[in-house]
Amino acid sequence: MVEPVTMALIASSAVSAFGSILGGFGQASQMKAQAKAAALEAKYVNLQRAQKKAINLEAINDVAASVDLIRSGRNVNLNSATGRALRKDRRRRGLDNLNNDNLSFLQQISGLKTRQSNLRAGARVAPLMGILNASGDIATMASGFGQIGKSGAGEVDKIKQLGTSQLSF
Amino acid sequence: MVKTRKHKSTLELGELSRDFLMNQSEEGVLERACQTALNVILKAGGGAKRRPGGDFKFSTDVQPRRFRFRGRGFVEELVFTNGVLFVHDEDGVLLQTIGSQAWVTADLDNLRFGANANKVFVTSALNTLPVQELTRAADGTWSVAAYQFSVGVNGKRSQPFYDKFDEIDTVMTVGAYSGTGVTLQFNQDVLVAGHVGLRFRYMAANEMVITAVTDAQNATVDIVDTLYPTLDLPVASSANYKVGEVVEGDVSNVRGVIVEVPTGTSVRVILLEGYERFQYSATAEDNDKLITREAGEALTAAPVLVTTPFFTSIYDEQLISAVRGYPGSLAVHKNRLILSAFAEATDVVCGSANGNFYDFAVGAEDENAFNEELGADPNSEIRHVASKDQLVIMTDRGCHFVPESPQSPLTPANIAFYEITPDGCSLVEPFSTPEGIVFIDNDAGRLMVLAQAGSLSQPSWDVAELSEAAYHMLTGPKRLVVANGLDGRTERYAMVLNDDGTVACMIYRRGSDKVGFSRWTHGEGAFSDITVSEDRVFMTSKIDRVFSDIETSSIWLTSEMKFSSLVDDEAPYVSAASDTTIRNTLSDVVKDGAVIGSGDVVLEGGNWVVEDLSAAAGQSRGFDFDVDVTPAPQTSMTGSGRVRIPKTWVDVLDTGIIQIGNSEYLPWGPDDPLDDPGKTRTQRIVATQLGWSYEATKFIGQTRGRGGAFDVRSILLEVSK
Repeated sequence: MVEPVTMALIASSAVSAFGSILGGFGQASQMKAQAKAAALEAKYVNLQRAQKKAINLEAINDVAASVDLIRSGRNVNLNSATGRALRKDRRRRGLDNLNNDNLSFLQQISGLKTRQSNLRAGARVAPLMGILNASGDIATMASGFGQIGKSGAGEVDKIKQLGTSQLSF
Repeated sequence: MVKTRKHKSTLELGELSRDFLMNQSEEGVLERACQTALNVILKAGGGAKRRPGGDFKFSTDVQPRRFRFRGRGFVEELVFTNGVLFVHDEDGVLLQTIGSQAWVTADLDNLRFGANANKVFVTSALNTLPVQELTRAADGTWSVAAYQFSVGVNGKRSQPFYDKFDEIDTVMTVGAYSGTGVTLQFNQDVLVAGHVGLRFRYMAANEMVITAVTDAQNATVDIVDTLYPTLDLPVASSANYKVGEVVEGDVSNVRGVIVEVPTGTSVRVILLEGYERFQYSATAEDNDKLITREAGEALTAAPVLVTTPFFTSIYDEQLISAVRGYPGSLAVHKNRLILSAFAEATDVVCGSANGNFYDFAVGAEDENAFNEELGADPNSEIRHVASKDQLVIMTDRGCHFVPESPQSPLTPANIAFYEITPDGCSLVEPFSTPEGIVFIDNDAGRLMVLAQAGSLSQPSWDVAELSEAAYHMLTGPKRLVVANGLDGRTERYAMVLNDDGTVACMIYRRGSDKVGFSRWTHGEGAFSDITVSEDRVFMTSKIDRVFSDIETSSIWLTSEMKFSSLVDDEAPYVSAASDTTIRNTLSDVVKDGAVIGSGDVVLEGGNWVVEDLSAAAGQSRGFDFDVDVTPAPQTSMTGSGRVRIPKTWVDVLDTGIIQIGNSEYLPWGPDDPLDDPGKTRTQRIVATQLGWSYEATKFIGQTRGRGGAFDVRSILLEVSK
């Protein structure tokens, strides 16, 4: 006769193992969704990058126009050597900003792509992890059967068989 | 019916122009003005005093030009003559002679100076003299060298360049991107033999040195900086690309100027900013699109380097050279050396890097050098740059200032040229005064002042004319100075040296809008140079000596103007064979503050002496001059008829012999000994005279050979008609 406590342990371990296996599958689909979201965000950031670049380029042109406008008001020749140097310098500074922004966006995109890649990989192994977690429960269950063994080894064998068949999928 | 009026004159306005006197445009002018104010100074409180004579310092037998260098605790006189520099101490003692220099006689009147610490930079308004750098070593010796720009990588000079020397459609073709002995060609005449050794820049960026000039359009160069590449850019369609447009890669942001559209699927560009050749890779996602206003084709293949650089109109040439001329004006301003007044780049102002007088490589950082051009009128000719709290630029058609302040110092980014006045400036070098800058205007040769007003944070300048009522005294201005006092007197005087050797001397009262002029003439020759340091005025005079009917020579005498000297170029009377300075001139002998005689300086018994006068201890010789303070004519009395001046009261202070009208009045009282030629008296002389005249005024002064102390406080004329 199996003790009620042992039976409860075996039953709960069986439920837990089943839950772990199901959880693995659930985590995998969640990670797939997150990977998709990361991919979308990467696309969004890339779009932002393009927009920001357009804004920066416009700003560069605005600054050049503004430099010329201010210089006109200051009664200096727009095409003097210093005028050219200033225009070149302001453009360089604008391009530096543009490149800094671009680099920042590219870092974000790179991070998102890495995250996407990691999530996809995670999604692939999540079911296996569920099963591995389930194996712990099965071990607990097995120790329950050990208790039963002391009172009836035939049931233990059945449970082992059950566990083996469950592990095989 | 005889009308009699008394007219008092305080002389304080000095000599006015004849038309100004006759028109009487301002009330009360006649009571303060002179018809003639010759060889006097006007005093702050009214009245006129005999001008200082010259205390002889040194002579040269060639034309000199002087610059007074004020060091820390000492003053030295730098005397420039044809190719030679003489250094004198402030008492005229010769300290050093440096020969074989670059300046020539023609430069002397046109030299411009800028001093800083132990250096003096010198250039010539003729644009023919390379900037000279005079350096005073710690031991007090001077050295002279041609100014050199600092040398950078690959031997490049940190010098300014200019891109507007040639016609706008002139193009440059270079035979290779790099190397030596490369061909350089222009489509118009640009080159002269003197271009050898000079530098051009392809795309105003890549420097090359000319090693040989074949003709006006062809030369050989050594390329210092590899030329920016000319590239063929393959695109699907080049239909919308136009020559002259700037094309920019949308990924790389590399830019180039389109120089040709050789096929329907390629665009040819010269890169504008460097050597990076757009972004293209057969596998890359982000290949450049070539953006212009109307096109945006993607690169379809990698850019291809064109074998030889394409020709371009974007080039420049070193600004300063023997071919294009040297700066005609310079100034040391706020730790920058300012160069300007270029012969072929007339509207350009260059400033060195802050704190480095030798770096003129243009940049955009605050401390960088600048190379700026006047925007409002590119055809204007900058004549002078002057350093005050703000930099002042003076052109032939206006004056401008750069609105800098401690909060907004002069940098390449904040240069502005604000107009002060459309009055142009002549070639006469302006002079800095506590109020601003005095200058001679370009149109009518007027004496003007730019007065600094406002505050440092909100600077502004005013302009005023100083010579309006005495314009006739400016008979060809060539030098201008302002003395902050005169040999101990507290009045300030602006002195304009004229081409004819006269000086217009203007009393310049602080805070007053009234000025007064007198004219100075030299007793024997002509004034040729004038310098001041604080209240010390130094004059150089040119004396022509006649040796025979066909032989003459000139000598230049430099003297300090001092009231203790009665006559010009006064020196102790030494009857010695070696004292040949004033031989063959008409000279005067002074004793006890009065001229005691005149005569030709002749060789007598082996000694040069004033003819018929023997030398004696305490005597000196020099050149006496006329003094005249004829008051303004009383025009209300003359009308169309004649007048009488029966009485004249002349209020004199410590005055010797004086002539009033046709009569001479002596200073001796009944009890005075008659053997004191320098005797003076303070009195009110009453001169009574008969006769009629069309001029309601009277000569009051001294004539040459009768010089002595002279100080008239006021004059009262009684005029009858």
